[in-house]
Amino acid sequence: MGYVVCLLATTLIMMPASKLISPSLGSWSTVSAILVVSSMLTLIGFGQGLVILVGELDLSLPSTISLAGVLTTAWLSVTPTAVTFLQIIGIAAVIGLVNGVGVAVLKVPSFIMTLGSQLIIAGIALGYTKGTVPGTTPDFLASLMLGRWFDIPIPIYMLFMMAALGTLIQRYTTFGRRLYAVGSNRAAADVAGVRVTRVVVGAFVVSAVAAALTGMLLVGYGGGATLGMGDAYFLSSIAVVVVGGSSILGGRGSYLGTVVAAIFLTTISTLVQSLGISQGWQTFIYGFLIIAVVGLLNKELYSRMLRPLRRLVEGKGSGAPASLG
Amino acid sequence: MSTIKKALSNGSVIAFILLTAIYVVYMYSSIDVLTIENATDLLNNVAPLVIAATGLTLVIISGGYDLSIGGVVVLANVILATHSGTTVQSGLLAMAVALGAGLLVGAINGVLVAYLEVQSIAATLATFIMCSGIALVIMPSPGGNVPEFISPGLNSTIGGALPVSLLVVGTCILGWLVLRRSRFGVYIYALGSDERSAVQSGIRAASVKFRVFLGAGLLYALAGVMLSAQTASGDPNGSALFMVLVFAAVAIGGTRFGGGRGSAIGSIVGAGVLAVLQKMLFALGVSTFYTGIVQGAVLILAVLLGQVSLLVAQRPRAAETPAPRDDRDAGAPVPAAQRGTS
Repeated sequence: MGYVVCLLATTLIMMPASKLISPSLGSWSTVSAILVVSSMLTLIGFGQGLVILVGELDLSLPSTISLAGVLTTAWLSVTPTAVTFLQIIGIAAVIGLVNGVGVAVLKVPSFIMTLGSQLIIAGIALGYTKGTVPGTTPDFLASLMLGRWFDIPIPIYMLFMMAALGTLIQRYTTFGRRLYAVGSNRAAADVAGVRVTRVVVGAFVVSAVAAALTGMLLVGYGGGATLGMGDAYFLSSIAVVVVGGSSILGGRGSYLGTVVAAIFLTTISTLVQSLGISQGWQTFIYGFLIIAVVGLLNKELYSRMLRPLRRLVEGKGSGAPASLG
Repeated sequence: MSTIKKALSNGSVIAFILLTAIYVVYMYSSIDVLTIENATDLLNNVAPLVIAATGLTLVIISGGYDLSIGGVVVLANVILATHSGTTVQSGLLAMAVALGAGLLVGAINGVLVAYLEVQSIAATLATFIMCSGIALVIMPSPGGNVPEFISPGLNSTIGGALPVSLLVVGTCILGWLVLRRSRFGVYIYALGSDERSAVQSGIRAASVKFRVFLGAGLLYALAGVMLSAQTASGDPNGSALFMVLVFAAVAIGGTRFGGGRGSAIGSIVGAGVLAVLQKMLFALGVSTFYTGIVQGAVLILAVLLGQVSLLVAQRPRAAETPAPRDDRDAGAPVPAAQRGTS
């Protein structure tokens, strides 16, 4: 928890301090733009976060986002009804179900299962569109993502609602508690009567549905769909969870951390973009910061850095034997 | 009977059967499959994948993951495409720099994973992002060209008979066979099967992990050089699909994700499966739109097939007296708790 507070504090300091770098930054309009972009990362991070919590990984999110985006412009703009919406969500749920069954029942490693389905879904999206995406942006999505309520962009309300709802689901519902149990020790959870298979499948279904919703929001925000619109989330959906303090091995992490990390990473990339340096350096700095944050998270590293200091203070000649590694 | 069981529990065998099946279909779908040109072309296609898959196999058997492949391959590619100059010497120098970059990235991964104990997925994810960034800095847009001794040099034959790529694939197989029987090879398997007991039996885990990542980095850079021979130009963005194919090759080859079991031979055959599959689909006239679907399906099916055959191979064994078995290629039953990603 202390880590999440530190991350939040860093972000909060960075936002106004960025004025020093460029006068156009740090204003309310930049901050709100950052929050709007973070809202989509927050949503995709929720799904990936649940999957990571049970000790798996979902690499099929990018193409699920793209497929949902394509279907949104192709179907939802023509017949903007709840039925069409549920059809798209249903397709995503089936994708999640297949992933989950493959991983939990057929015991295919999640890395492979979701990599395979990523290829398959991308192929389906490509085959369906034959390369050109049909349709336009449904009006209600555009007004949702670009609209304002009391002069504050609507996605910002969604971001905070998502943070509250996600934390509620992950921390206080039975489903959420079971995710932690399965992630920290699958065998023990099984013995304790948790239906491991159902929980893992559930995590994958939620993840795919979150990806579909993200796809829809992206269509509203960007004013259209492309076949590669989800590609950027291949790495960032994992990065946001890891930077948020969750263990990539599962069983540990909070959704609040993911939300803060989404805002943090978006702030960083906005900041770096305004430095006027090339795209390449921006990417490099982004990667470097992930290493720095993940490295700082590492308790082992902490204690290693502190060990010589402690030795110095305690005046012991020979400390504890170095760890066996 | 036990021979069949042993074969069934060996992932490479499944991959080999798959390769043969696809090759037969390919042979019937096109008339000029069995020509020297076609075979050389296939070898050229598969060589980069083979080298990278060999590197990844090492990392995965040792119990880690490596997402930096895409980054290193692209880095090597853009270094060659921008800094080769016009003479052979400058070309060789660029190649040395490219390989050095691979070693450097491998070393960074190694330090992060082995000594700072960062999770390998997280660490290599970050180095992948950093490498793609540097690749964009070196070469902001696709273009350039690579020296002649690389393209077409590495895609041609030595003395008109021996394709360079055959030599490369052969070297990978030979190198693997030597490594597997070496002390270091045993350490890698031991580390991947059970890190704690490996450490307790005196293996210096950190040092082994570091060297594995170092070697893998070098192999990815080599794969990047071979890939440049095919594309003959540089592209700072074209790495994601290649990385997916490398992971697919390793998985089809029966290497267990999570460590301890598998072989580079399997991965090499797996790379062959993917390459022949692509050719077969093309020969059958299947639209390129659907290539991804078939590749994804083959990936999942191959892993499923491997698991089913492993079950078949192991079921009667449980009833027999538990004989000491070789954990390197034959599968040891895995407790459910250890199954997840690591």
